[in-house]
Amino acid sequence: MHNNFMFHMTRRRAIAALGGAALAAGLARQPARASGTVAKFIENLGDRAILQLADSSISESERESRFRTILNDSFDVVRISRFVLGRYARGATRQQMAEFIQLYEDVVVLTYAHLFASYAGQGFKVKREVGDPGDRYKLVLTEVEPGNGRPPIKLDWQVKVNGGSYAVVDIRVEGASMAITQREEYTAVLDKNGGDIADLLAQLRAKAAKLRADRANS
Amino acid sequence: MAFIAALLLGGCATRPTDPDDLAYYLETRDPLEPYNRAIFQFNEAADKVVLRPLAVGYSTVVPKGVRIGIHNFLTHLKSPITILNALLQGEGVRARDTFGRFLTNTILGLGGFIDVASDAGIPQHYEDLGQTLAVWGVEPGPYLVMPLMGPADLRHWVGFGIDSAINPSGYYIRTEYGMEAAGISAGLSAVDWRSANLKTIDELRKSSLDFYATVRSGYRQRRAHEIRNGREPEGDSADSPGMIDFDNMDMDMDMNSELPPAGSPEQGQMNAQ
Repeated sequence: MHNNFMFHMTRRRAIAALGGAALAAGLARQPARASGTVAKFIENLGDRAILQLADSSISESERESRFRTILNDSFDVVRISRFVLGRYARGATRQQMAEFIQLYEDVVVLTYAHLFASYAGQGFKVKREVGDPGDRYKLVLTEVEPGNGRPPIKLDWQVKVNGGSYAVVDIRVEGASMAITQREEYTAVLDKNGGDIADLLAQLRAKAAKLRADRANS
Repeated sequence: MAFIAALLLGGCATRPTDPDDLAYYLETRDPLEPYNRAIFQFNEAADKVVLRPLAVGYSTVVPKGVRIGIHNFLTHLKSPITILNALLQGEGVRARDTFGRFLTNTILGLGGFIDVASDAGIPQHYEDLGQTLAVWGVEPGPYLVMPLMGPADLRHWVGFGIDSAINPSGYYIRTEYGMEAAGISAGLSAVDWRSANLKTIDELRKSSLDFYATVRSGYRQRRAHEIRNGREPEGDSADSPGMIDFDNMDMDMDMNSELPPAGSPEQGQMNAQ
């Protein structure tokens, strides 16, 4: 029989795509073929992440602090934070926004940093880059060999161009954008609680505390 | 069928006209959400009690080489459906690739257990009738979570049902080896999928404030990508499917300031409560 269960293709792809982003930042690169400087930026980011994070000799708290440094250096966390609040962002006070950015960063660090501990070092290849007409953003298209008999995974990096410097604003795995997925997660919470940002912050604080406790126990 | 056709074709009366609202509406539209969330919770429980433990055991006990072989074989069984649907979509190269893979792996790959074709550089594709219907312009219909089988849109489910019924390899297994073999194959597909995504799913589930919304968003984006065959944006287009417009978020904010400007005090007060 043919019968894959439905979720074999759908959930597998969807979720693998999302979660694969966890590994995205740390994938070692294969010999570079791309010449653009944005592509270089992404390759360097991958090199740096793998070098600093996939290090079995460091403690988990050290890994988290290194991950946070890379996140702040190479990602536009403020821009991403605003985006993921969607249409609710304008209802947030300055203080709420500042706290949201902090908590968002905490949850990202606590979720993804430790995945590098057991990271086996597959490579990504830069395929090409595209820009928007004003060159405000670039998209760097890469591919990863998953190394488990599955076909290569498409990994796209959207990068904000600020003069001569770059910052990642989104990672897409097989077409699934982290920013869009997280926006849907947070707006679902806010739809349910009537747009109450303070309640969202409370939920995020509890989530971060729980992730921290889990990490301490593992 | 009339019911399904109505669901597939029926527009919604409350479809917003404002472009931003419409985009958000289309992205998150989920008319069956209460039902879907209930089934989703059931599936989550089933995963924790049955599928996940099976997948953990499977990846602990079964050697990696055997697991890859089983995965290859399960993928092999779907080839006829991919060939048919690639043809129906006018994707000649994909049909040819998949036909070549099927022959190569049947003959040289021990009936599909060894993926000789990938080593030979023939790329793997996946097409189904739901994708074909999408290419033909049929709307996705409502998002629908099925017990034990997970989420998909209605168009995807209809295609899946027909694909399953007409797949020759499925027919062969059912008639030669019986329904038990068909059941085992289905179960193995689920375990194969779950074992390949153990950490990913566990982590996402743990870190998400609303895992249902996370999965729904992931499914839809991934499915759209599947339908357009992962085609990358052509040329330098801001409208390309690849780019998110981070600068047009319908927000009165200076995106480059260190901290966002304050919202109105009234809103702040309300939100603080």
